[in-house]
Amino acid sequence: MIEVRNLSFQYSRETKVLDGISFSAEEGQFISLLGPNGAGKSTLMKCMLGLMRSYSGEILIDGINIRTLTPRALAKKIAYIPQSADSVFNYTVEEVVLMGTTPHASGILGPGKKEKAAAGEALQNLGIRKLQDRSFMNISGGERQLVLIARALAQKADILLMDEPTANLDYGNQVQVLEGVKKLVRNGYTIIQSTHNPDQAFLYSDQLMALNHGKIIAFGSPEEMITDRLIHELYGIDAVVETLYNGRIRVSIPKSVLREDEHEQ
Amino acid sequence: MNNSRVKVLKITACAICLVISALVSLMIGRYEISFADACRILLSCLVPVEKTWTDLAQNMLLLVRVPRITSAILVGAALSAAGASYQCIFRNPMAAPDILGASTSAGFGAALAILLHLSSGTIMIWAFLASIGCIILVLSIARAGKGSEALNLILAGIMISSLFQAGTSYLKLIADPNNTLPEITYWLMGSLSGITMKEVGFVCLPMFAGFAVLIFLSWKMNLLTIDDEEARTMGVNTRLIRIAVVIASTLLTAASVSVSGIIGWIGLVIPHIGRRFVGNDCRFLIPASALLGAMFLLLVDDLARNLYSTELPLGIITALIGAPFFIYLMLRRGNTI
Repeated sequence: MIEVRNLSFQYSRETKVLDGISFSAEEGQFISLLGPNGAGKSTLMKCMLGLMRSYSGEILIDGINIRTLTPRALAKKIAYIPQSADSVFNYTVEEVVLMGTTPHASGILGPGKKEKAAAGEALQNLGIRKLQDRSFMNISGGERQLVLIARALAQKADILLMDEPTANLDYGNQVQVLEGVKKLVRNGYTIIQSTHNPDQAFLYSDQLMALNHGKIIAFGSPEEMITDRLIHELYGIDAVVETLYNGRIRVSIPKSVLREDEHEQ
Repeated sequence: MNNSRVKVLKITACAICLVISALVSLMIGRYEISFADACRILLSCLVPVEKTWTDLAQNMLLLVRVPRITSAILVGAALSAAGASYQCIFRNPMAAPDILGASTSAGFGAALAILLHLSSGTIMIWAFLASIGCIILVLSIARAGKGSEALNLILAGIMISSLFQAGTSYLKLIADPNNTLPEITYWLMGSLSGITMKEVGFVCLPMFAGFAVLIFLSWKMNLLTIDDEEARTMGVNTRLIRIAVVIASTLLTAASVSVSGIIGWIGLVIPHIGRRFVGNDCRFLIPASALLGAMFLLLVDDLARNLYSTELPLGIITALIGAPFFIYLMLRRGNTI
C-alpha cells in the first residue's frame, strides 16, 4: 500500500509542479493517471520512485516513509516500467529481465541461480518465456513492453508505476499489454499507469486520478469520474462521453467531429 | 542457464589459448630457443634443474622475452577492458581509452619527462600523473557543464585530449633532434622493446587494482547502458559506479601507456569482437575482452619483433588493423552492435 500525503514539488522559484497531492492506493488496485502534458504526472512518479527528493510532504509505503529507505530497499518495494528502453547495446531478453533482480542480488558478481529462477518465473507469468534468448531489440514493441513488465516483476516490488505503457504500440499490442497488466492486478499488485487515453482508463483501470496544474481534480471510479466536464477541464476539448454495451464501455467523442457529421447530413 | 555455461566455456577456451600463445611466443625470435630448453629454463626458476642451456639463452628468455610477453599481455588486457568499460558507461560504441584523453595526456607526461632527461621510472610516474590529472579535469568540466553528463564527458575528453596533443607537438618542436626527439617520437608510436621485469612489476599493482574494480562492478555496469533514472529505480547508485569505473579504466590506461607508449585502436576494436563472442553482459564481456586483447597484442608484438630485421612500432600495426575495422563499424552500425 502506498500513501501520498500533501505532496508538493517545485523547481527553484517556478510555479508548483505538484501542489498538495494526497491519495492512497491499495493492493490489487489499478489506477490510471490522466492529465495533459505538463500536468505533473512524471514528476509525481519520480517523487514516488525516490528519484526526486526535494519535495515537501510525505510518501509512505506500507507505513514507512520512503525518505528513510536506501535506494536498494526502495527498489524492492516499488518498480518503474518505462515507455521504452533504448540501450545502445543489444541485450537478450533474459539479461534485461535479470537487471530487475539487481536489488536482490547478494553475490559480488551480480545475479545468481536464485535471481535467474526469479527472472524465468517473471517471464512465465506473462507468457513470454519463449522469448528468453531472443535479443531485446529484435522483438515486437508489445513484447518489449511485456519484457519491461517482467523486469519489474523480477524486481519483486508490489507497486508498479507505468509511464504510458501503450503509447508507442499498435492496437493489438496495446490490448496484449493491458490484458497482461490486468492479470497482475488480479494477483494483488498495485499498479499506477499514466495515460493519455480516457477510454482506456475506463476500460481497464478501477480507479481514475485526474491531474491538472499539479493538483488532483478528480479521483474515483472511472464510471463516475470520466464526464464531458472532466475532458473539457483536462484537455480543453468539448466532448461527449457515450456508453456502449450497457455501460461496460465508455467512449469520449469530440463534439467537433459530431458537428461535422451534422453538416454533412 | 546453458547460455551462461557456454559463455564461461568460451572464456576458459580463451584463457587456454592465451597460455599456449604465450608459451609459443617465448620460443619465437631472432635467437632460437627450443621448446624443451624454454620449459627447463622456466622450471629452473622454481626448482633446481640440470643446466643444458647456454647463459645467453637463459638471459634472452628471462630478461628479454618474459618481461616483454608479460607486458604485452598486461597492456592488451588493460586497454581492452578499459575500452569495454568506457563503451558501457558512456553508452557509446565508439568510446575508447583515448576518448577521455587518458592516452594522449599520459603521452604528454612521458614526453615531458623524456625532454627533462629523467630516469625511466620517473617517466612512468609523470605519464601516470598527467593522465590522472587529465581525467580529473575532464570529470570536473563534465560535472560543471549543463546537460547530459555522459555526453559532456566525451566532449570534454576530446577537448582536453587535443590540448595535450598540442602540448606534445610543442615538446617535440623544442626537443633536441639528436637524442630526445627520436626517443619521444618512437615512444609515442608504441613499443614494448627493452622492457624490464622491474617496469612490469611497477605497473602490475595499479593494473590489478583496476581489473578488480571492473570485475566487481561488471554486473552493475550493464545497468549504466540503460537510462540513468531507470537504473536508479533498480537501486543502483549510477553516479558512484560511473565515477568508480572511469577511475579504474583510466588507471588501466595510464599504466598501459606508461609501460608501452600510445598503442591505439585495441581499446575500440577488441571490445566489439568480445561483444560478438560472448554478448553484451559485462560479467562476461570484461574478462573476454581482456583475454582477447591480451592475445591480440601478443600476436601483434610477435609480428612487430619478427617481421623485419628492425622492429616495427606497435601503433602502426594496430592502426593498420584497427582503422579498417572502425570504418566497417561505421558502415554497418545497426542495433546489433
